[in-house]
Amino acid sequence: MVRTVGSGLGVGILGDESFVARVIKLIESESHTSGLTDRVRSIVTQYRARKASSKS
Amino acid sequence: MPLYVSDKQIVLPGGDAVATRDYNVSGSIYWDGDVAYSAVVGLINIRGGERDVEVIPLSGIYKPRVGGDIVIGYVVDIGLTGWVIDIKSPYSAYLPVQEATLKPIDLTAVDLKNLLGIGDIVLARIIDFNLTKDYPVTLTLKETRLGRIEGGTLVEIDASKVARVIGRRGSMVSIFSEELNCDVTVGQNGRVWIRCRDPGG
Repeated sequence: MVRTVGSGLGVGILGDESFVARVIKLIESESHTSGLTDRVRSIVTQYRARKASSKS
Repeated sequence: MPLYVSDKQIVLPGGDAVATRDYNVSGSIYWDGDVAYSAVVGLINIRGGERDVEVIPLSGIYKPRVGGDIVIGYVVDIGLTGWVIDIKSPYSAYLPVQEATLKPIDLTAVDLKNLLGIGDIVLARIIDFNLTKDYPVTLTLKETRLGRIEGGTLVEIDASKVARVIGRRGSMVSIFSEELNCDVTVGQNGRVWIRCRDPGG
């Protein structure tokens, strides 16, 4: 379950917090944990790159 | 002196013998005579020169531990001398008023709901776990980083997956703080609080 503190269920989740919440749910559900930190770092790097390109 | 399992082996409840009393067996187990059996579907973790054997459940509820466990809970009721807190555990938790503030409070003059209301979320530490009490878990907020949570996003995960979200020596949470400026606070009860300096991205 994901919720924004101070509001109803799942309301108003946007941007970085939403992304981190999704990645944490991904980490929870992952069955193969070897190399998980590197995979998460790669996902976060891709997200940052995409965010930077959308702003430019 | 048999050890019936190997490291990283999956064990099942009811049938899989783990080890005898010659080993330091911990985790989700029960004893039948001198043999420890797994009480859950779990993973074997052997350390300490193959003398310490632990059964780690693959999923399950949060079992409170005294002395260090940080948890995230919801205020669900207000009593005469404190608050009842839901910590996502079968054991109910209580936050006494003397553990909520550093200043002494006159209970005859202060309405507790002005300090913490129903539905408020708190980051707290477990200071006592005693099954003989009505509320087995006692919490405190009397530390700098503890208190009511305001803002951010809360995620609920299985309590058995908390370790992997934290990562080895906090490596996983540090990715979010280094790359995205997001503080991730992981409660041992499986609630995760995310707060980004730029939440909208």
